[in-house]
Amino acid sequence: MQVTGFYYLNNQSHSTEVTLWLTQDSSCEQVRIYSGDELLVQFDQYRQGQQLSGLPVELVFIDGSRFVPHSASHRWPSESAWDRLLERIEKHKTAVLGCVIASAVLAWLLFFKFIPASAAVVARSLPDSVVHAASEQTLAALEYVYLEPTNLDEAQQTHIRTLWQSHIAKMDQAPEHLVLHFYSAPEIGANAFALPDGQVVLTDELALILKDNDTALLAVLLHEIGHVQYQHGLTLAAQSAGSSVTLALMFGDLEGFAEIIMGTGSALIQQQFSRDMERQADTFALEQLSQLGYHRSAFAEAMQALAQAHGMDEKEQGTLWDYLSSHPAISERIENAHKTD
Amino acid sequence: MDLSQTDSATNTTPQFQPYSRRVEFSGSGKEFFSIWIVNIVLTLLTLGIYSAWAKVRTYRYFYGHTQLDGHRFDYLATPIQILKGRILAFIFFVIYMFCTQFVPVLGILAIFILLFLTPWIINQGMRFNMRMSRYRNVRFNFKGSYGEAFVVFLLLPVASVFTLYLLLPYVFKRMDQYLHSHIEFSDTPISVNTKGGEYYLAALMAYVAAGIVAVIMLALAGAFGFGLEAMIQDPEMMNDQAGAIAGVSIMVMMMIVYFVAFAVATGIYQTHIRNHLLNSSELQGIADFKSDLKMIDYTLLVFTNTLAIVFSLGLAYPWAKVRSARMLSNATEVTFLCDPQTLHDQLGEQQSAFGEEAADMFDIDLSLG
Repeated sequence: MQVTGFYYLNNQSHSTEVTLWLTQDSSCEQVRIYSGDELLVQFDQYRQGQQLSGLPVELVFIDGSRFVPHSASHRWPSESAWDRLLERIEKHKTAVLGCVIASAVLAWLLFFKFIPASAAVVARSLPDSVVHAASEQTLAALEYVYLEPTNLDEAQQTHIRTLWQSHIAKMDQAPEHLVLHFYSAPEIGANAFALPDGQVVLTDELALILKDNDTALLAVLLHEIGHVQYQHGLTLAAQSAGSSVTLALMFGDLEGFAEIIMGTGSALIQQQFSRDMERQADTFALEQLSQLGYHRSAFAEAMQALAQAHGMDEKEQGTLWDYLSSHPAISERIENAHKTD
Repeated sequence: MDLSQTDSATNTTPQFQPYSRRVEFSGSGKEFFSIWIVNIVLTLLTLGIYSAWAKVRTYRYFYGHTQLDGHRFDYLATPIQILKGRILAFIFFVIYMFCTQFVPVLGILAIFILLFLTPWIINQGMRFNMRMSRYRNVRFNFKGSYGEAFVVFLLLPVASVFTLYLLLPYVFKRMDQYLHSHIEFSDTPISVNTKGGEYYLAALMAYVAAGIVAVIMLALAGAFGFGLEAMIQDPEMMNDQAGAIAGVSIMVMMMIVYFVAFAVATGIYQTHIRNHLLNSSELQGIADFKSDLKMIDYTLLVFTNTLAIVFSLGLAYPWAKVRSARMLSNATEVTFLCDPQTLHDQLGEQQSAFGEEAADMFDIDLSLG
């Protein structure tokens, strides 16, 4: 085998235009390097460099000198089976097309199946102490930014607490450590949310609008218990972390606007999962309402009251905005409550 | 009297005539697409582990296809070095995410630790990248210091906040200067004589151009919007759906304006700075650099690359990377001031010596990209 190329001495920029002869018989290999007719050097060992489509493959010798062929397509007898396979796939049009399809399918499996499933496992296997510490910290942060001491009077608080406790006691499989907090939250308005360790926060504003409808209030609280039951908060957090790392590994150095677009796509996927979780919590609340012997329409009443409090027309939804939202459309949730009644 | 001087000059460079060569890039979008998509499939199949091998293949492809004076650049890092760095970065990232999500106070502490590690990480990253880059059998090197990196990458940016960001172009100048003037080749550092004024000029041009583009586009969008509104005046069209569509289309419109203005600003700023930086840099006694990137060409490139990547759902990424590399290479010229056949790899000669061993332990790539 005869190949032309550059021969570099160890650690020197000096390059010589050479012809390399590689002879192989059953017992040994021999490399002889000629500059013109003059034999420069010969070796009976060599190591080939990494192989890559479209680039020449260098030979490295024992004294650190290297030979780089001029021809980008020349390949050595020592090429590894793996390198050859990769290069074959890369050169094969159908195989490349197959890779495009495979990467789409794999990415879908990864982002929509594998990451959510492992996030759920991670969320469930976190020790209680960690979950509790996390919830305490989150609540402290929320208290600092949004929450103020409750303005509900003692009687109201006792009334709601009694409602809460009497029904938790009757539930089949309530999560442990459920605690109810009251806060005034002028900036958030009528709302309720759950922390992963079972603390549920009810805002004064929500308690007020549902003051004459205990069952509707109960429906909202059951929805929040549903979030605790399924560990939604932690799952979503673990999932978003997993997706960010995976995207970073796939694209690495996306710049500027392309990065923003990919980030937006990833955020939209997260919202999709968030809406699914809300639906799951809704279903949980509806089922519990039925089991406790209440009418499921109480949930619909709660949703209507919420929509009104936030100045939303319940029919207004069902548009493009839905895809940007973390919650399903109110109309859908109300319809759902009436559907299987 | 002058005899000794002329003597030594002729001794070191006997009859050497400086000559200039353009950098050439010979990669093809099609070829890199194959490499990239195989990389992605294997990365997904191995849940990210193969990404280290993928990075080496990508870098080797771009380095190997960059040629100057008939010689190719080489990327020398091994996948294991990249993998080690990624595992470290991944562990830190998981701890960080865990902290911010679950224990915000610890998260703030982690941010502070990361902040003070930043100069070290920047130095380490540059050092690694330079040592893994080779031209004509000679490796590059980077010799930065924590103190200087701390001033340039932490103190100055913070200071610029207090000057309403008026200091920012100067800060960018210092960053570029720091990153480039500590690069060494054949034991010679690059001398960088950039001027702060050029950075202010670049920023000003980018701002003004982006502003003009945004105003023109908003005016056009406004005219279009009035037309739309006139149509919606038709009472039957005036329903909630139309309202929502109008809302979304305004949002999309704003994104387009932002995107175009952003591309124009990026193109203008980067072109001006790249040309200025390379034209003011010299590898003393070895090579002089020249860059003549065209502002309009490069802006169009940034613009079309982004459009292609977004509308192909990422599939045009390899094509975009290759055409950027080609344009930047072709805009670069190197003048050899001494015979490039006579250089030495100082790194290789030191490597047997002590001290390097410990440093090599940290010869890992710390970036996730």
